[in-house]
Amino acid sequence: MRADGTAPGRPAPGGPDPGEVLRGCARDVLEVAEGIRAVAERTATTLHAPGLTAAARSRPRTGLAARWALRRALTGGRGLGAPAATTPVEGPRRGAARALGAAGRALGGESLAALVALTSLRLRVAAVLADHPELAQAPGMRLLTRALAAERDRDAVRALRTLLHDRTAQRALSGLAPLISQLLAVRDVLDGDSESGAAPGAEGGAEAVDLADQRRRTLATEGSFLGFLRNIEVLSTDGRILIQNVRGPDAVVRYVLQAPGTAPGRPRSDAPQDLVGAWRDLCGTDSPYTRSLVRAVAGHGIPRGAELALIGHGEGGNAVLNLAQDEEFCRTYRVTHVIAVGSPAGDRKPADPRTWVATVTNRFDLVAAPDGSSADVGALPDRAGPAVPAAPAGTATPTNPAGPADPADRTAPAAPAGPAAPVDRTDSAFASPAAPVAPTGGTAPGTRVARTGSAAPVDRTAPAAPGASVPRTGSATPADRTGPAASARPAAPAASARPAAPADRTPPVAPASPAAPGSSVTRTGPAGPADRVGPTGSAVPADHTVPPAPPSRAGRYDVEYAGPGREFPLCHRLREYIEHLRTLVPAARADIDEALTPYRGPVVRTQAYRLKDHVHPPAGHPFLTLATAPVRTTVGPVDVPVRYYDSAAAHLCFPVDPAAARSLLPDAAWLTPSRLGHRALAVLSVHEHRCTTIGPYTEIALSVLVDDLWRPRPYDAVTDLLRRVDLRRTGRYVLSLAVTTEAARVVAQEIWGQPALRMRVEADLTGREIRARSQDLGLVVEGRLGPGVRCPDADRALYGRRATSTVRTLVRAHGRLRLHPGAGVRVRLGTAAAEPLAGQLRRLGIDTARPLFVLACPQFMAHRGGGAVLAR
Amino acid sequence: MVTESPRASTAGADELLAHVGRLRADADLMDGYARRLRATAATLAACPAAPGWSRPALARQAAACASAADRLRSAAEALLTHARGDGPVTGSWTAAP
Repeated sequence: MRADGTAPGRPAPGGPDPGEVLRGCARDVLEVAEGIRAVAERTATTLHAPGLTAAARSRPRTGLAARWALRRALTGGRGLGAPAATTPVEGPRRGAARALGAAGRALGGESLAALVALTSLRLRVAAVLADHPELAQAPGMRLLTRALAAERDRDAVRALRTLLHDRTAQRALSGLAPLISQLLAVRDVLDGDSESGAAPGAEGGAEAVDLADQRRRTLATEGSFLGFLRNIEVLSTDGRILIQNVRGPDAVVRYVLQAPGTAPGRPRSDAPQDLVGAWRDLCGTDSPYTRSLVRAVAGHGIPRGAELALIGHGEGGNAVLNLAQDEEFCRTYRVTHVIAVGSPAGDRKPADPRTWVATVTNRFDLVAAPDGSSADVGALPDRAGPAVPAAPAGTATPTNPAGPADPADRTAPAAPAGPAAPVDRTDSAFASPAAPVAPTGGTAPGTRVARTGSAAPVDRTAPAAPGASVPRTGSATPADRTGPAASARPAAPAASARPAAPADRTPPVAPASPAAPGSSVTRTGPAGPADRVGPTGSAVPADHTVPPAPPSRAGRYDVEYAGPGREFPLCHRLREYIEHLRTLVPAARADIDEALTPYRGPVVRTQAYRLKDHVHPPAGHPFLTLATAPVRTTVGPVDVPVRYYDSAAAHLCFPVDPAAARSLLPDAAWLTPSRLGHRALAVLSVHEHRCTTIGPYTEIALSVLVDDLWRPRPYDAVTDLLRRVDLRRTGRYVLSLAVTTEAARVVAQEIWGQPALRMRVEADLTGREIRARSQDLGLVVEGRLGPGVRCPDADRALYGRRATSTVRTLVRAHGRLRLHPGAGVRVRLGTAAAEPLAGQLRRLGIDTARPLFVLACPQFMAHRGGGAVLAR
Repeated sequence: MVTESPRASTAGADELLAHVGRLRADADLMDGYARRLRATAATLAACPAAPGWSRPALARQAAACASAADRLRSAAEALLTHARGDGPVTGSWTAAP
């Protein structure tokens, strides 16, 4: 304990945030690394300058001395180190410079810039883990920390360089949202060779697809903001988007495009690429996703000039923001609204200045606000490439006087940019007082909303927001609706810089409902009555410090709030956003709903489109390129085969007493353990599924090898090793299964007939040291894998039971399975270990035994089909 | 027979002098980077969450920056000597600010 009463490693009260200090230091050190790299490149240019080369020939004594001094500055033990490959040397000399760099590295001298960049990245990782310790278990973070943990710096640089070029690791790394910008910058310093992602103008495609009945029934039939978001959630993240035709209050049919993002741990619709390419695809205005959206809109038959709202979450939000920047698209259609939830919005401006842009961001969502720093959002695309033209921070944007910049702006919208839509479009709905207005809650304390545009009178009789739990701490001024955070901040530009609008003198509105702490709402442009600054005098809780509001931007409505939990990726999930919009920031939801008034009516047509990426093969191609069909479960339809894109496994194989094994099998005479000599074989399998179509999860399963159900033969278990999995007669009967997610439990139980329980399990199976621990089960598996030999893929047939039938499931795997001796691995069972797994392990004697051998695979792909029900 | 014209020789010397100026400026930059790294190490000394390895690593890299600055100055001197023999160079070169 320190003198000030705080523990070491904890921030002193009132002191700077350690995470922020580390981030600042990391930024500073990275700048130094980039500077050193530039110096090294200039020195290399001097060394290879034609003037020096020519002069050295004419006067070799001084010329060679000068060249030697320059070379020593570059490649000496304590010099700058080998120059990066981006040196501006041209032609054959570039090859010489590259060879010089390679030779320097081969002799053990990493460039000073690379070493300093490594320090910067290590500091950044420390900062991220200080703020988000839960990320320590993320697959990408584990890969990264393993690379950075090499004993010598130069080994760490090499490991990092290898990792950044390892295509199989890109999926995991691209999940490290708060580190992406740093990784890209460090990658540039290390070698500068960035592969581009999609070629410019890469083709995307979209194909109309039918939704399963169950999904279709859950889609909203009336237009509303939350309804559209729920639709996106229903779509899941399997590369489908939705376009709905909505008949507005003015009987005009308008169109709403709804685009989901990708979820951490779920596959993307394309193959993993180079990190830079993946990020460009994510953020680029010309990405396959964005172009596929254009195809979908064209295929939907939307008439030119028709009004269109674009709504997206995560990567989908990115794509719709990109789409709104597309001038040709905006000339063809009148994009009236763009709403991005949980997306890094930056300062992107739509091509049509009348387009109203809204963003909703949970401050702890690392995808939307990497590392909690809005600066990073803008920095990211710049680092990744020139694809996203980000306006410089602080640039004053002229207020948009023409467009319906504010939901409450009921003035007639400007005519469509393209030819008139063939719909009877009257603008009365915009001005109609009868237009439905959702009951409005208050803005959460600390909510920050940035709004631009003129505001119009809104008769808000705002009842207390349902579910808003933070009590009101001050009295609301009439027409004062922004959360207390805005008022608490002395220089919140959103609240203070707005000129008072005449509309501010409209009749007082009802008090705003309570609001959540730590959120902020910033509106820019002339304030209207809708601009109600919230209860003054309420303090923002210390743990919800509100950063300065972003600069005012025209046509924008930015909502940033602090959710109740900061765990990532939970706070990025759309379901969380929907819940927060409903309960935590209901005013923002109401404002956006108001803005969407022209789209709030019955849905007259719904069509889903599957997006296609013509440039990149689908993820897992060709092994996971399979026909799938939805199977109904209690958690919704699940596409089978279930596909596993990135998994690790360790199968601990124990010889056990056949009688003990038989006693654990169901009471059916035809289920008999296979014998290998006088023993049966039990397998304790640990799987770490990092990316699957049912989301990431970890599982521990205990199974017993069983004979053919109909005609058991003595050596089936041995001869089956030589057969294809679909021809095998034996299989493994799953006695117990523990999984970490509800979706995995339901799928295992309802589709595969396996007795699954939901438990907490942590596993790391990617290195030579394997470790799995389940507090709930009281089980620990750990140890070091000894030398191993390659063996065929672990295809297998699994058996389960459903009612009185046996369910047979085929699992096909593709990876580098290795057979290791089991001596170094052991199972430990706590005294209070939970049934049923613990009891079964004890009865089999596994709790004290070491495995005979271990089949391990740190990375593989697999797919599991639907279970075939057998009449046995 | 190829002969070198005095004008070409002067141009070559000017180019070399420009390189000398850049090298000296880069040496100053490297000294500045060394100072920044030491300052960062000092900042981290006051940060309870700073990893233990960070300060020695930064101190090591700051020393490397200072060493690189010295070598760049040496290279600039060697290049200047070479340039003086290459054309009509008068006076001493002052590093760019």
